[in-house]
Amino acid sequence: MQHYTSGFELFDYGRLDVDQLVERTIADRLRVLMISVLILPSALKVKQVCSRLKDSGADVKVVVGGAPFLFDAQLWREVGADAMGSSASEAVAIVGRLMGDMQ
Amino acid sequence: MNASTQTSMTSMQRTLTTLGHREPDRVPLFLLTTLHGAKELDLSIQDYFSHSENVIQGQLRLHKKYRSDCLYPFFYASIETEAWGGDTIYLPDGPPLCGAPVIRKAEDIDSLVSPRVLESASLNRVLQTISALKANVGETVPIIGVAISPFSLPVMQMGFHAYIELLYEQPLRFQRLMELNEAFTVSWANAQLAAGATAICYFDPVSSPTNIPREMYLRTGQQVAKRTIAQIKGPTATHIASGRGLPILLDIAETGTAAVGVSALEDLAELKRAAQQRVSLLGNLNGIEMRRWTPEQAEYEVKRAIAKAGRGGGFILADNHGEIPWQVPQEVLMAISAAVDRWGRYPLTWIEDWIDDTPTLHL
Repeated sequence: MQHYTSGFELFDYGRLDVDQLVERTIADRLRVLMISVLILPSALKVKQVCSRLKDSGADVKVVVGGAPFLFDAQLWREVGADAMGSSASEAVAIVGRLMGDMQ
Repeated sequence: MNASTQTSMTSMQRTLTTLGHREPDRVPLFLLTTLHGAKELDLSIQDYFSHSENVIQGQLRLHKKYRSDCLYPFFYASIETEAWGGDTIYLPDGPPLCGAPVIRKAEDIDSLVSPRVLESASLNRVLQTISALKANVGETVPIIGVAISPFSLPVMQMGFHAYIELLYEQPLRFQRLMELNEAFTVSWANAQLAAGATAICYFDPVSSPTNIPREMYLRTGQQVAKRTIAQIKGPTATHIASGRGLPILLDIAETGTAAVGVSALEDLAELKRAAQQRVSLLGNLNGIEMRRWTPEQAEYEVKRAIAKAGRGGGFILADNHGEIPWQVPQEVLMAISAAVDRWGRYPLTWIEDWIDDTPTLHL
């Protein structure tokens, strides 16, 4: 909910696999991609997303969140994300900072 | 058996002693491996859980290999929703997940019927597994059954957001769902006990302050737990599956449960003080970080946990989630087992010297 009231244009993709997420991120020209996961296998798949987005040359930052990232403070760097948010409000602040950096 | 592995108690004696808040021969280790059984048998996770014979063999091999103080015939959480008509999605490298909700809209609760445990082929696979394990170990090793709490089951039955809306906005339908779920959970837990389970792990993550405020827990989840646990014909351990529990630790103790599975996000020493010998602690090795531990790190984490919570009993060393991730390598599990054997023996005379040599450790 905090994201919807944050002032940013928001696309809610729901649940997608790696291929779908990469395709839509590129097609919609997202500036920031936020990924929330519940279990470790999903967190580890973010590595593929980041890698493929980087290979595509897309100008997008990836912010991750969810339980596995809370329990392992090194995991967001390991999967190649640009930042990790430990709560919805923190994620909004991170997106604001990243958008500012990209302008 | 060489000198380093000699202990005077069986796993059952060790566990019961610590649950009585007394010091056994060494700290019990509940290494809660489920998916690793598929690795032992070189099967896919889906194939592994499709036959009880696989899980029986998997659990026995894991027990022999890692010398855990319990057997853990837990298949996967959504096996319970299969009994309600739901399905399961299998992953190649993680716990099976729940498929589409069986309660698609809140009105469905009005006509919902609680399923009969013994009519579920899936649940019968678990019961067969427990019976076979019991025949194998008798009274020497605790067999830990699992039941999802009636209060947390709706996350799988209807999805998290829909359930939270129900909880806050539709008290009558929430009450009806709890009545149905309580009947199911009691029946399921008691069927496992009848099959040979020693105790039931009552998984109740929704009750964690990570998910709902304490005031809501006291009005809802705690009341459900009190009613349910009172009808379960054996001891229970309540697990909040990585969620924070410190603010409600004594509230959980009031439900009549014997132990609480605690989070790696909370300090074991603080939890031990808060428990006041009214409830034992189960935890809290970080299962997510465990994936990349070295054997030396594993030993350090075991020592740290034992130093914080081992004294006086009332403590079982385990991971913090109730299931060790597929990605955790066997070298780490072996290192944990060896470290407990080395550092878990009572009396724990090494702790003060180790604390003095470990300035970063705060008790």
